[in-house]
Order: sequence, then structure tokens, then C-alpha cells
Amino acid sequence: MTLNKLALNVAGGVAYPGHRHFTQRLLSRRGFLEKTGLTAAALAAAGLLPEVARSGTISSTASAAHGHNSTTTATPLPIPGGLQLLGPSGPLFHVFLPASGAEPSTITNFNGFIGWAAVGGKGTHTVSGQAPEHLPFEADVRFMRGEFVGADGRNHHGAFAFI
Amino acid sequence: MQIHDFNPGITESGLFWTIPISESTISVNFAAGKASFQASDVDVEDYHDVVNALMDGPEVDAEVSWDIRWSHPMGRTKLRDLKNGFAGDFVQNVAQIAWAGQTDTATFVSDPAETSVNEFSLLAHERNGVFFS
Repeated sequence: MTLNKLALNVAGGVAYPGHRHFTQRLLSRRGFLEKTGLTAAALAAAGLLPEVARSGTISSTASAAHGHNSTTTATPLPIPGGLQLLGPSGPLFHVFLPASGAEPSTITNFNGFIGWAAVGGKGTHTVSGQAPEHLPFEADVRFMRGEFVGADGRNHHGAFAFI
Repeated sequence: MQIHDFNPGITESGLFWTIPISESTISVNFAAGKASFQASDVDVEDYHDVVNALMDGPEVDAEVSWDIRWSHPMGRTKLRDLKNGFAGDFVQNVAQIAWAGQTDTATFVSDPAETSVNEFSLLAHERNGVFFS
């Protein structure tokens, strides 16, 4: 299945409020890597996002704490709306694609901040025992942080990642 | 040809590719239209491609790390969507990402964040469900 084929299914199957451009480009989201035969570059395994690794250490420490630096254990509920990404006879997926006016959140009963990043780029892909390749990616990553009513019917405060 | 699709899966309730994460991974200055989101070694699955992911097909264990920055606000709008039941304040801006993902047999490391290309990015303060009125 190619991205174009999938985009065709979406565009023909559901009432998508955004631009088809976004459907084509961004349904692929994070990790859509397309082999293009671009020049490979060496991968330094020890150099994987060192600044992220540092923040992860901080996050891990914070996760053990209470209050607004903790990771919630409450389960949120999905938004009721969404898209039939596999076509009109397919299931409803509780998510909207990046577009002006589309709902960013994937959880309902939510009141808080959201960051939405639909971004493309390139990077180095390495399969064990093979030469690295320089390949394109597309990512759709979001955060949701604030108050929400969980599946337990109670109010909670927490953060979520849409990856 | 897509060769990786990293996501945490869909829960039985229908929660779509969404997992809890430490609040400390997120920093928001909504007034300035800026934010950051950083996380490391988050457990996900690699479904190979998005259709297989949507169909909950075979996957392998994977980890991803990311560092995303939002900046350069370009405009603010208020939105109230009665059909979908949400409202909020929205700031369209620019996001840049550096990220890495790995499975037992493959790694991917993006080029530096400043080389990434913004497609659609925003910050929002949203209310939905019981908070929508």
C-alpha cells in the first residue's frame, strides 16, 4: 500500500474537512520513511539526541513525583468524532488529520493546552548489517496537558502524547 | 514504500495512538506562542506502515525519542465547533522536530531540528466534552 492509495481511500470515503494535501502528506505521520536512494551518512549510535536523553532523565525523575510533574494513571476517553481512514465501510478512528479547524485533541472531556506538530524532514536510517540510508520522514506528534474527566468519571490532571 | 510506522496502538476504548506522559516533558508559554515537548525512550510499536497500524496488524517493539519546539506565532483565532463539540483559542505557528526511533534491528535518527520542514503546527487551549459549552 502506498500513501497515495491510502489517501484515495480517505478522500473518497469520508467527509474530510481539511485539504487533501494534508491527507496525502500527513496521514503518513511520524515514521513514514520512503526509500529514495539518497546518499547515506554514517550513524553514530552514541549520538542519538543527547539533549533528549538528558531531558528524559529529568522526566523519569519527575515521573516518580506527585503533582503536575507526574504521569497520570487515569485513563481518558477518546473524542466521539473522527475519520474512517480505511474507507466508508471501515471503522471510525477517533482522530482528525492536521488541518485548520480540525479538532486537535484525541481525548474528550478535556480542558487544557495542546501542541500539534506536523513536520517533515530527513534522517539516517540504519538496518543492522547494512549501510545507512538518508531517508525522508513525516511526523504528526501532539501533546495534551490539562484537566480531564477519565473513564472512571472523576476529574484528573495529566498529560498525554499523541505519537 | 513506507518502512516504519511508530505508534503506541489503539486501545479497546478507541483511544487513538495516545498515551500518558509526564507533564514535565511539556513546557507551554501560550501567550508567546511557544512550547516544547521532549521525551526519551518511549515504548511504542513499529507497525511498518500506517495501513497495517490501522488494521492492528503485526508489529515489533520499538522506542522513540523526540524534541519538538513551537515558535514564531503567525496568528490567533477563536474556534467553536458545535458539530464536533469543541472550542478554543488557537495559535498557528511553526514547529521543528528532532527525533529518533529504534527497533531491535533498525534505527532512525532525524537530521537536526532546524532542517525539519513545518507542514501544519499550532498551539491551542481547547475545551471539549463536558467542558464544552
